[in-house]
Amino acid sequence: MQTWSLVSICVLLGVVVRWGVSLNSYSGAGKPPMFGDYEAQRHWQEVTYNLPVQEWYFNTTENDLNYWGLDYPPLTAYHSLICAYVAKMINPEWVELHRSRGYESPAHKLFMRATVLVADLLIYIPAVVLYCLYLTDGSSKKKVSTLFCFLLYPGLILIDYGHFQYNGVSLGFALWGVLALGLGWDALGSMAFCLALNYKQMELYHALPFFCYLLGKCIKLGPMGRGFFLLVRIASTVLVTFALCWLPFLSDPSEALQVVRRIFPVARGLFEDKVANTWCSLNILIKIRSILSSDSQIYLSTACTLLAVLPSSVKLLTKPTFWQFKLALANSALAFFLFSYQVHEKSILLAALPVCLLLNDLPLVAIWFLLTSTFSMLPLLLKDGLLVPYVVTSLAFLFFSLYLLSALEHCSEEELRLGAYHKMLFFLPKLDLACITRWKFYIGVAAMAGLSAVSVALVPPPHLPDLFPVLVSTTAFLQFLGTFLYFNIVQFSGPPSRKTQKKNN
Amino acid sequence: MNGVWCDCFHSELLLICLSVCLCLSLCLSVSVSLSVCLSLSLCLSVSLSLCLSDCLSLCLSVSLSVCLSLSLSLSLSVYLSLCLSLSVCLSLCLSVCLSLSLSVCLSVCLSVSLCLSVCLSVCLSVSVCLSLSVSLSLCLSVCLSVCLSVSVCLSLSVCLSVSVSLSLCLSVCLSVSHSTDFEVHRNWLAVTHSLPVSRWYHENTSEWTLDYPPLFAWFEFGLSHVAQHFDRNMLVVENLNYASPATVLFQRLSVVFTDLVFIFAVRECCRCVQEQKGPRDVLSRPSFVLAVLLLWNFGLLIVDHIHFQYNGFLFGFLLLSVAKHLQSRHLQGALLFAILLNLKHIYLYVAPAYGIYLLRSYCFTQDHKDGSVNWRSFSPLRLLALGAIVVSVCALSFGPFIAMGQLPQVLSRLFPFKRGLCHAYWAPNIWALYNMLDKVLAVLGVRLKLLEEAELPRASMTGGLVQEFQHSVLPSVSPSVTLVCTLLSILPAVASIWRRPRGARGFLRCLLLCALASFMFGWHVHEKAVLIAILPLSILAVESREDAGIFLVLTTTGHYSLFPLIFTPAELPIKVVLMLLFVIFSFAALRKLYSGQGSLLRPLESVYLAGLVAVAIACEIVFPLSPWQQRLPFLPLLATSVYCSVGVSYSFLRLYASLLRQDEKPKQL
Repeated sequence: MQTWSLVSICVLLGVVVRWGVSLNSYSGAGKPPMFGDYEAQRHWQEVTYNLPVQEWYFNTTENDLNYWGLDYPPLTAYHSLICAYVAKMINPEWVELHRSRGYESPAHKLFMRATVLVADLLIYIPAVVLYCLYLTDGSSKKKVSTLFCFLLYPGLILIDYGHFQYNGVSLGFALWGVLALGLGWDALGSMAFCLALNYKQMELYHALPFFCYLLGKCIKLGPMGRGFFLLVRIASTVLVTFALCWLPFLSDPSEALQVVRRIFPVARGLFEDKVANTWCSLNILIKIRSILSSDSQIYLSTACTLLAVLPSSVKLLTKPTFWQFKLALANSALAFFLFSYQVHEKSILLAALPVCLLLNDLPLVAIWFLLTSTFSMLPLLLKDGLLVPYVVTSLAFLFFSLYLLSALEHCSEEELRLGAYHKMLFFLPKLDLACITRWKFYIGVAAMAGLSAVSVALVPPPHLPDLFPVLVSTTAFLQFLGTFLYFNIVQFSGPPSRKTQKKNN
Repeated sequence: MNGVWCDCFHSELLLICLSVCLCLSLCLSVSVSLSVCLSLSLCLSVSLSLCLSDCLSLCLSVSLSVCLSLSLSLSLSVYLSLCLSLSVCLSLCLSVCLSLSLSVCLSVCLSVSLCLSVCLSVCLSVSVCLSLSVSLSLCLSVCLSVCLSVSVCLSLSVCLSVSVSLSLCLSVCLSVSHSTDFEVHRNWLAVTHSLPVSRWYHENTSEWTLDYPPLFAWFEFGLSHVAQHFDRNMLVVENLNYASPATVLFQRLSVVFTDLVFIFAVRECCRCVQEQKGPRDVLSRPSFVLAVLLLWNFGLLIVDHIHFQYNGFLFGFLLLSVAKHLQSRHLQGALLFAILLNLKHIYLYVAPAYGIYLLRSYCFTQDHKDGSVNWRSFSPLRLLALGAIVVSVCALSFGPFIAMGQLPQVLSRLFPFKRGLCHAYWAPNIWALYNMLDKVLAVLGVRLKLLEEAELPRASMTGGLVQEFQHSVLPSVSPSVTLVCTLLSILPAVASIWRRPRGARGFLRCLLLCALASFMFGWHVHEKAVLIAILPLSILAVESREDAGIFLVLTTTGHYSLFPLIFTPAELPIKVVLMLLFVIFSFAALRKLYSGQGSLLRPLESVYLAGLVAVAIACEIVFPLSPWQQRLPFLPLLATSVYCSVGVSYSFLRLYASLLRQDEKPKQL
């Protein structure tokens, strides 16, 4: 069969799974007074449609910021505005100011789900297809397999189509950026990444690798001649993109400042709920939040994040290849997730995207990480009533990815890039690290399955109501930490295999 | 006195002290040993974690989870055993007390009853555990079968796992809409579970009375025993339109698990396919293509997993029986078909093909050289064996009802001739064209002033509860006419395999023609019945190029005609995307399979299929937005069924032509 038919079949399957998940319930369905993210997005449509641009981010009589006030960058607001125009055409009740609060109906749900699908079809899915076809190596069948697994990643599907968010847009823009950088179109890539950044401030997790890669490239080209020219071009692209996105707010500096204040709320604490990052896991042993003042919490988390990001960034700066760039993206996103201030459990999607990019190169670890990332959101998914989609999509992803990418067959030490471990563990007798990794994978998957079953089936003891969420987040955290170390070691363990190198030069 | 009392007191105190000491020491020792164990395990884990730098994370997580599970299971088991022992002790004490106070026999009775109750409770708990474990083992078996198939048969594994996961996804995620068939099957579960056998075919609380043969009722009876562990309320006959989440989950899961029969049957069919020699790409091997065509069949997916029916289970039996015939295991094939007939009597459509083929190719052991029948080779023993199989299966299913004298009642439920010629939505067959012609003539007549509008009978078109349909210009059709038409159209095919049986493949073609003929001319045919032809045709399609062309026309039109079955806007993307998936795959895969042998479709056929896209866009997108939506709500249904009936009739004729042409060939030689 031709590649195009296989690709179209994969894309259609991805769409079917997405739409199947979207028929389930969403966050905060029928839970007044605050509802959930679904209502937040609907409320933003209402606000952006009915109020002038100047009032979007301000607390006025018409705009109550305490009720799901807009706290994403301007591009999200514009997107909401476009959706609101469509909603107004279909049914004006959906975006009526004040009176539409908490509006829920099957038709409206259908409309909201359709907006997510349309955004995905326009931005995320084409980027994935192009990335897999042009920037992964191997036969065409291998490319299609990678594409299929990429599209089937359960975490993103469950959050976007179950819980309800538009992560596909920001991640899609970031992916367009990666794609453009991989193909050598640096200015376009930086523009796409600026769009991602202006859609969701969380994309800052990816900012450092983009910056280091482009800067490293400029330095490599010669800081005076062509490199300087490239730097100027990229800088002007970034500035123009930002200026265009923020145009309505630039007339008055106070407005822009208010937007920034809304986007970065520092008053919300070190972490929320049960996140699988360092602070939340450390909280079991040491109650950091009660020991340190909030300012010192910010300093501590910033320092830790910078320390964790530093190695991969420096390495990328000195050696800006595409392979290093992909690894640095994963490392930086993971470092931010593990150590930064005010992390949501959904932020793991930002780390999952670069790991998806590595599906073709390091299948076993990537699959393991992606499964763990989905598992780490289990408490959230259970709260939204998404148990069945979670189980089905995770199992499907596990089966397909293991089979299609033949992950378990291709896990010799060389393919897993475990050479550096041997050097580090010189004091130990020679171990079969590949075998150990495989067994770790089995045990990790079994532990996740067991914990999922337990947290669904059993009622926690009354004096430990948060037992299972804590266990879930701790287990996920330990695995994330292991993966973080592994990716860092891989990044430092010398060049990749010859094929990849050739491709990147 | 006092001293003695004191002594006694002392000794008692001593005893108490001793026992307390003992207890304490025991506890201490236990705790010490536990702590030792813990420290040991800690040491172990620490040393292990030291060993491997990033193994740490896993070890910790594993030890955490293991500890958790161990402690949980330990506490559970301790708790259970405590409860059990307590209850046993209680019952014993009670029985002893009672036996002391009351007369001996009473106490015995009581204790027996107590024991019984204890036993019962134990049994109940065991049975609950068992049911849980059964479901678990079912899950496991699904996983195992998938894994096994991965190792056994590479090509099949992909589509197996795909279909399993997809059907799970579809069927479980689509808990939104419930069709009438969902309620029908829930009602049958309730009827078979809560009523005695004698009432099954008399029950009419719901309008959806039991109208499948008895074996299917027994199947529902078996399902209801699993269902009671999900939700007891769904088994109450009076609970009409009951659809709790647990009910939905159970019903959907039952379809998924009974689909295992279908998956097994597909595997058997794929084994019978003739493979070309030489190593070929997995994607272009006939067996792989066949597996995907069958498992991914659009019609089966939406009818079973979205609309809700057990067709996968039933088609599993049909395909399995076909596969047995292809493997020349006729008796097994006959047995499977007999079971199938007693599960759903719609398969009577293809019974003539079975009857004639078995009689001709199995009961007559030899042919003349020119292929005509050799009367002397008739083997009465084989006929007897076949008869015994069929009769025993029928006796098993209908026997109880014959014994109770309910046969007429059962048959009246199975064959309701009170319904109209066509279903509410016209199936794409001859009668759809006939109705359309009638309508056109009537309108023309009124326009040309040849007919008076008032004289015409008020004909209700599609979409409406009125089942009777009176033709206004053309003569009305009675059930006997349809029966005669069907028999006449089947006759040539059956006669052809009687005159010259061409092995199991000739039989398969005959079976197809029987199914299609009864679909074309039958009384009150459902649009879903086209699947009976589509699924077996897939087997022929991967073996011959001409059949592949017919297959593409028939499946595309037949599947498109199922579109009105799924009508909610939420499911529109799913049906469109699934249809596209199937169409893209079937076209690409079959083209690749016959690459270098010219195009599969004739130009006119391509034009017709392209027209289908136009019809789809007009019906699904343009029409709902147009002003006709209010005045002529049935127009899209009408257009769909008339347009599709052209394609179905065309492929019926082409199939007949290919059969008769094969008939000619031996004469020319």
